[in-house]
Amino acid sequence: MKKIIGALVAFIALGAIASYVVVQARHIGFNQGYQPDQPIAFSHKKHAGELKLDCKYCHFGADKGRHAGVPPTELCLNCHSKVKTNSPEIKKIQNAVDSGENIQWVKVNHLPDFAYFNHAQHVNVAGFKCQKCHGPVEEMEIYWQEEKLAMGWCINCHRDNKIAPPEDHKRAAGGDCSKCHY
Amino acid sequence: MSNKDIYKTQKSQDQKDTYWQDVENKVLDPKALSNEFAEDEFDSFSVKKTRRNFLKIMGFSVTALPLTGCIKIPVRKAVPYLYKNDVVIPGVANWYATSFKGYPILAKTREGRPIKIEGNKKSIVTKGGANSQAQASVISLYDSYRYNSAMIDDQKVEWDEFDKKAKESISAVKEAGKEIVLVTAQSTSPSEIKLIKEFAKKIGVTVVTYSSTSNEAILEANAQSFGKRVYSDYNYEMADVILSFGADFLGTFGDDVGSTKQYVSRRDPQHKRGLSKHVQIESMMSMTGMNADKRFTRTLEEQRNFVLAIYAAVSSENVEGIKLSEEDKKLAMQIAKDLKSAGKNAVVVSDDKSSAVQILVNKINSALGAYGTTVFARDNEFVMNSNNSEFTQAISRMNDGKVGAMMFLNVNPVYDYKSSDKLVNALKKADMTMSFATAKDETSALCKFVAPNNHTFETWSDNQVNHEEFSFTQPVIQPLFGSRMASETLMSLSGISGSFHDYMKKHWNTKFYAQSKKDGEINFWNKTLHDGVVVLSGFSSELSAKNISASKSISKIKSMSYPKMAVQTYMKSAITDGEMANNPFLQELPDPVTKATWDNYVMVSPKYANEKSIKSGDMVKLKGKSHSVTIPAIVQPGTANNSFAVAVGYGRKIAGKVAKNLGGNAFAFDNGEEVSLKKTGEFKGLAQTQTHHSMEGRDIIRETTYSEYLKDPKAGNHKKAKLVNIYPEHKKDGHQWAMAIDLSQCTGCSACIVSCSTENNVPVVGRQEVANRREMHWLRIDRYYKGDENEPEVMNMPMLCQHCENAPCENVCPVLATVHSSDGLNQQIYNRCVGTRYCANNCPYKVRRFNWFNYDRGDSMAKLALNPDISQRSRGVMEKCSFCIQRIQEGKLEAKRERRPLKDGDIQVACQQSCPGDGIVFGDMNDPKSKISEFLGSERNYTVLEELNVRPRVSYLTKVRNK
Repeated sequence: MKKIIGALVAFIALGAIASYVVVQARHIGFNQGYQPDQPIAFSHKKHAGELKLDCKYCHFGADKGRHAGVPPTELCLNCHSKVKTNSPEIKKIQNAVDSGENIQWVKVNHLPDFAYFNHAQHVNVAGFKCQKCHGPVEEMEIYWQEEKLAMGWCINCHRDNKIAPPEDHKRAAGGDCSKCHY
Repeated sequence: MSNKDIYKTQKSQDQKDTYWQDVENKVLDPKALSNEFAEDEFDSFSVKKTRRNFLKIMGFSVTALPLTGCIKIPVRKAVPYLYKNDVVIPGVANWYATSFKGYPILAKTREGRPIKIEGNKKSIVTKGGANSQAQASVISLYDSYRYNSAMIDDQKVEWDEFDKKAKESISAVKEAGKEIVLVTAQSTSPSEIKLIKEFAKKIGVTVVTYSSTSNEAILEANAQSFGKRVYSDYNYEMADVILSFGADFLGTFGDDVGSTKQYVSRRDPQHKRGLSKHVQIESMMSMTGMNADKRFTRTLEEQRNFVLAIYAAVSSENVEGIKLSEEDKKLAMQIAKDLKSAGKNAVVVSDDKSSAVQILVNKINSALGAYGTTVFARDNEFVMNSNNSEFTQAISRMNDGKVGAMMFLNVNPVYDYKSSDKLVNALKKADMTMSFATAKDETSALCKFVAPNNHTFETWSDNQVNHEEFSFTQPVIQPLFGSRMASETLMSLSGISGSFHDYMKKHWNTKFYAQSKKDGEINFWNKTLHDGVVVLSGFSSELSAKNISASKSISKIKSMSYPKMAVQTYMKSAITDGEMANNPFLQELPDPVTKATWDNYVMVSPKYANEKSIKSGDMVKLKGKSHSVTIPAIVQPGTANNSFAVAVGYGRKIAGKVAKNLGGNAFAFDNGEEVSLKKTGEFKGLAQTQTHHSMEGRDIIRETTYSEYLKDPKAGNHKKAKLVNIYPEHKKDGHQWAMAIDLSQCTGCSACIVSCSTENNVPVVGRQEVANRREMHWLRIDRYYKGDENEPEVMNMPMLCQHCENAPCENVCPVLATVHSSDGLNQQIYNRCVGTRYCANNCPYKVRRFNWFNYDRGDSMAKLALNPDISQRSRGVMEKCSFCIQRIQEGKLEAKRERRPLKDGDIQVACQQSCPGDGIVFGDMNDPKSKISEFLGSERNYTVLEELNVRPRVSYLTKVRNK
């Protein structure tokens, strides 16, 4: 009897560890909720929310190509050469442009090299709002990663949104492996 | 062992022709094979295998696993551009028209880095084709072996100081009353030639044009026949009958891409002028010879007598004492008859190094009336042709102490000049020597001053491509290594201020804009720069033939003597003169003829090999008058029995790590020089990508003759396998990708392989791994022999993943890493692959490639040439042709962005784009108007190994020969 209980305890303990391992392992490499401090206290809430700037004013690459891109530092000065020039944060930008030592932002959204993602395909062609994947950016004081950016998350959306421009033969949101992996 | 044993032949059931099995039974050294697993590669696992260690590692792994839950992704930085750039958008490619060796190309840049070369469709010469060297040139750009600053006495100096000291040195030479010589390569660049002339005038320099590989016999002959040292131009598109004496015009004789475009347009049996007839008479198997309708292996002596016989027949002149066998005399009569009936649409082309022979060839072409139709003697305005005798004279003047300074522009004569030791001695007597080499070479190592030139992609230049087309070279990247355009160095030395860009622009405005006067000055320049090419007339005139007597040439030819065993030097299409030898993509590109990589070798005929029991891979010493090389032998069918052939461009002594000491230097051999060959007893082996040359009785290549084709377009393609399917048919809606390859259009040039490799980040594996059969090329060109071993017929077949509808690889993959897509692609998902290699084992076409090692690009700079849209595969992963899935995706996206349906031709795969033969067609087979649908519906269309019912999406069109 003792042996059986012992074995049972060991079995449950092992099972608990194993399930914990599996649950944890599924998070490896995913950074949902990642919200690092940035070298410049840039507020999306201020710019995208209150001032209602178009996302693509800064992230102009989203319309044209694979990367939405962090805007060129000089672009900030389009406004900030006139607006709030005395702010210490803006001074950092001005310094970077003057000295040539660029700002190193902390990358939040990251896809592994073996997954190909194209912003233009989703923003320009499918016409999705940025918030669909990036969450309520207009409310973020400090930007965080809203979604898991995992393959299952991609696939679910592709399955639910059978959106295809009429010109293309039927299959825009295809589920073929090599749509993303090559 | 008799020949029969080596060349086992096998008969197929429905074909009477005999195809070959293998040239050699053994090529690999068994010792090398036993070494095939490099132990140290796996040292990360080399913990001593004991039970305790096993438990330790197990224990660690189990306890470490839960900790992974706490691991955060490392902090990654995102650094934007500092200044806004309207042109460069991260992730979007920019294309620039520029040129390589004067030929128009397009360079694809990503984030400012050139990563891929394609042909320029706007060019009327190359028509969108690009050769293997142009394709591979992006790798040379990032070669960290290049000089990274100006040098004086092997010490780095700033450019200002360099200019000052060089000027001082030059004026010292002038004050001493000695001559200054500038040795330059052949050029057709209007602005560069103008600058060189200006430089020569200002400083007082003798300009000598030197080339190690030019055929000066043609220049001499044309000087006599037409009064000017010019090369002949050919138009193979107009040629109904082509007779070539050893001229590799599809490879290394003249403009390969342009000639191939013209030639293959007449290999289409549906061409309105019909199929051309190509006869090749040569002493070694050349790439062009492989494509000939009729190819004859003849010695140099026989070739020259053929010229005499054909001249006699065509000009109706009586030539006595032609030394040919009765059969050959008949053959010559037959060929002459064909030529005469084609008249002005016939052409004779020869690579003979004797001007007497070339004069007779000119005479034959004149007698046929071919001048003006298929062959031209044109006097282009902007041309500097080689004159090597002037160089020889300059060297002797330098030996006499009369020449005080010598400068080398785009030439490397210490390596490739025939008597380079004389040059080396003379250089010691010079007060000032200067080289413009981009990377340290044999010549620049001996020069006091080194002014490293930019790579082509960092350079401004222009070029007269042919009699009417001009091309621009524009920089597509800032100089990477602190080098400077040679033109600007020349400007600086001769005191011309400004940049070469301005110099060239000024020259164009005065010289060329004045001619065309359209679009306005600025627009004219911008449009030419944008297009990369412009057609301008009035810069070339046709020369008229002089009436010179043939008798002198005839008697000269008759008096020629021939050694018992002679050597012939030739150029490989990828390596040519060895200037780009440090490019691993070119070294690993299988030679179109021998399929050997990373080496040069002595080609011996099968008969000779049999007599002297030489096997491919045996080291042999080839000894000439004053020079010898010790390199492997290769038994090459189609080599004349009294000839050896050896490629130049190897045996670089001072070069980067790729080219250094690879093979032997054959530049010192004279063509036709008497040589002896001795086995050293060593066996080195050859790194060949194909050693099995048999189709095993299967009709892998289907072929027919033109006369059969005219009777029945389906000739040679009647066999149809009976297919039974137990599975339901696949759905075939939407786009369905397919490829067709016209075997009549494929010359085997292998430009597609380099194009594929640069597009898809295919790694270079090195000589030993190729020998281990682990080359990674996604696309190979299989070459099969047929018939007599002395005069075999050769067939080429590009072989790549066939994207089978019922793919045998897919159902053996245990992890579903290779599955089919809805648009008919056989997908390979690298991140899913665990490397069982079951798929490769089950592939009937053997097109899958396995990463045995982590093949990163050893040169850290070379990584910049990687295509960022493609993942780099790591060790243990299978890979293969993806039908350039990234280009399919990009093409579709582009169409969607423009809100329009995809058009045929929007998507061009890499191999298709660069093919100089236009032999590869890719597209959507569900589009009835597409080119691919036309090819699929052709009577000549078939699939390889159809009887397996794997239903390949790659199909082939039968080869039609005009026999």
